[in-house]
Amino acid sequence: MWRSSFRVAAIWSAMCGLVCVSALPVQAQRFTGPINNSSDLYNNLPAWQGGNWLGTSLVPTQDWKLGVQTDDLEIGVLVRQVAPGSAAERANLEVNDLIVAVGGQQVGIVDGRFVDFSAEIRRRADQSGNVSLLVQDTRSGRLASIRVRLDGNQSALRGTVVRRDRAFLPADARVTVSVQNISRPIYVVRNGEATYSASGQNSIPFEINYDPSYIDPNDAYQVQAQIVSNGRIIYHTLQPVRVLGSSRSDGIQIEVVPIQNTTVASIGSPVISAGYGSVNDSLVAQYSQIYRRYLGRNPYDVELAAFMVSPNAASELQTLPLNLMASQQYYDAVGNNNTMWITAVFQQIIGRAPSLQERDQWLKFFNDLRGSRMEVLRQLANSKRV
Amino acid sequence: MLRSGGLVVASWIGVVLAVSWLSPSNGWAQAKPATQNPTSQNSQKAATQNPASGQASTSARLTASSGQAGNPPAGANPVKPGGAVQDLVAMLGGIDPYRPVGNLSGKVQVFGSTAMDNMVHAWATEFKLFHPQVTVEVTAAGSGDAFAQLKQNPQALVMLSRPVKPEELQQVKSDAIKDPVAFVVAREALGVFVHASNPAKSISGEQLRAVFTKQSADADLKWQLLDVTGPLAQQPIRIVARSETSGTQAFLRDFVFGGMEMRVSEKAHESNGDVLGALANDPLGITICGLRANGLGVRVLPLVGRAGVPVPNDDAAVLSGQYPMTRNLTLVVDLGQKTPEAKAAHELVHFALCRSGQLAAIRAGFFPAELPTLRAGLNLLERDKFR
Repeated sequence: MWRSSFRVAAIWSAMCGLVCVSALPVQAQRFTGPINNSSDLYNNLPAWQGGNWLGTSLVPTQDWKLGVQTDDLEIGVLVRQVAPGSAAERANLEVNDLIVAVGGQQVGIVDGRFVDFSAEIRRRADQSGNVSLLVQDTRSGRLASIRVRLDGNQSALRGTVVRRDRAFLPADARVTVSVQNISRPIYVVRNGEATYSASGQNSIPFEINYDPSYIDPNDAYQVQAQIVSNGRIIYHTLQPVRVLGSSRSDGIQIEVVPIQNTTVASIGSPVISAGYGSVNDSLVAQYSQIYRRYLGRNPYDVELAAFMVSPNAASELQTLPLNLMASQQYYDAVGNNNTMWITAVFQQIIGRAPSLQERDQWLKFFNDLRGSRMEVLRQLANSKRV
Repeated sequence: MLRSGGLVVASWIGVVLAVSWLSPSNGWAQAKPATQNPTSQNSQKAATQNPASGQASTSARLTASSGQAGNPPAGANPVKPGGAVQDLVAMLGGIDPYRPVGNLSGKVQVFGSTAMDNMVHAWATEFKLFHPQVTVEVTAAGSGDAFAQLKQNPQALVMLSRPVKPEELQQVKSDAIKDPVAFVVAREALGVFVHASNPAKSISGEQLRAVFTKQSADADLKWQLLDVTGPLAQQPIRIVARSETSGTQAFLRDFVFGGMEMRVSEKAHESNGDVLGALANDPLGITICGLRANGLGVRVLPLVGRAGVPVPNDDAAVLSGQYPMTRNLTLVVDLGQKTPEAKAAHELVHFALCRSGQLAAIRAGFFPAELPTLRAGLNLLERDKFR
């Protein structure tokens, strides 16, 4: 009995781990070692043996970025690391792949001369950042010409996560910075999250290479950070920073503060006090906010309790808006009939009122889906993303 | 033989809990057991005719209305979970965690109540985390459709937004359907509402019956019945209700008032919102409505419970089973089916009865079933050999 429930707990916590900390150690390595509390973190980068993150210019310009870390060889440019969520990862580039040429120009050490790969991709990318690469696949040894859409400089958010206290963080502490759509919280921003090691540093530089096709100019966005250790959030952001739109995308400073009921050992052993559950005030506030937004009320006691018992509260927040829009209460509130409901959820999810044609199309679809509200909502949300 | 005994017990729990407060010590006692009521076919018919109306009763009106006790109006101070919430956390923690069983695959078909649609989807989503080979297809065409669908698809799972009577299970039994069992998987709490200015303090089961059924003479239907003194005492009580075919009205007649003929509303209202809106303008009015459907200008009348004192109408009272008037939501499945699809359907019921399933029910806007009910359901599944 005991053992099997323990197993369930283990499964859950494993899943939570997947959700909360998508550990991306590659990027974290870039900033090992102490970093001064400087506003311009790129001038304070520690020397990196083996190359640069190509395209990461010290002066932000109209440059393009592939997202690899390389060594220049006489036979081409050897990929040493691939940045998570980068153009390189999307193009399926792998460690030990060899980039032989960019847009027809050989790169690396060519006839004893150095042909700069990063300069070459900037030079040869077209207006929308497309460039063709000749790559030797590390597994098959074959040469292939691939077309890559580079990450633009403008679709990255850079800044620093700052802790004001000087508490010692355990070795497994990870900071996750994420972009969130405030206007319509159910929309995720693709690649809108980055995780770094947080131990031993008071200011942690971050860079999020989000997918710009997921950004809607009509919506408002914010970034926030949280530090997770041992499966629990130990620091969070009280004041998320507004980004995108007219706001700056560089030099963003996010302050994180310790969560009250957690004790972080100030010296010595990296011990985090045991507490039950991972639900904290900030999650509860978000949960309540979603209830107010969709149902016009705060959650009832039993709904709060259910949230606090829930083993994966953070991921539950993601699906909550759809759940509430599918609820009977919402259905009744918007007029207690299918047409009004379709109109209302279309407005919520797509961000505008449906045309008559769209409305009828979705109504028909609703019937085709055997009257299942949740199914319609999912399809609507998907249609928005495509 | 033993198993069919268990079957009857579980389905009985489903029926009886709705009126479980009708103990001899107070007025609730006189309600006849639902099984003696001859109107089962009527209720089925009513639900079929108007599947949409049944679902609406589970709802609350979306206005700027404040919640029930302990819930400040929207936009007020940030929510801070207090001691009441901690108590509820402890209660929910008492529900058995889900322990997945076996390697399952196939398609589970679910038919029935539209009101339960989002709850079943939430179950399906989480269920798939444990059983990725299983797909769940939900067709929500109303509770009235449920048994007809079960007859056509013996391996399916059907959902009804009301309790299920043993006779109904007997009726559905056939060569194809060997062992139909009803499981109570969630509840909705019902409340008695009066005008905000009404001085009545509480209502007992006996008083409720006197007011809402034709057991007492129309001439006696005055507010003094509810121990009201002063100018209102000699004024008539006016019933405000939805049409007779609505799911709520059918449920009240069949399961709360034991099939007695109910008084009808002067005007048959379309939705819960209409009912409460009319009540807010009628100082002499009274109605029964979903407890969560709290509106402006009306108030909930506490129900007198077993101990002869009013039961608070808060979440803890409902969750612990103290609250006298709730409506059970039911899943029906044929445990006699042994195909992979049927096994997956049975396992989905198992999931629904466990903690994750019950938390999903809360998110869908319902209350969990009472702990003993959940246990009874789990035991029944456990006893079934194939698991």
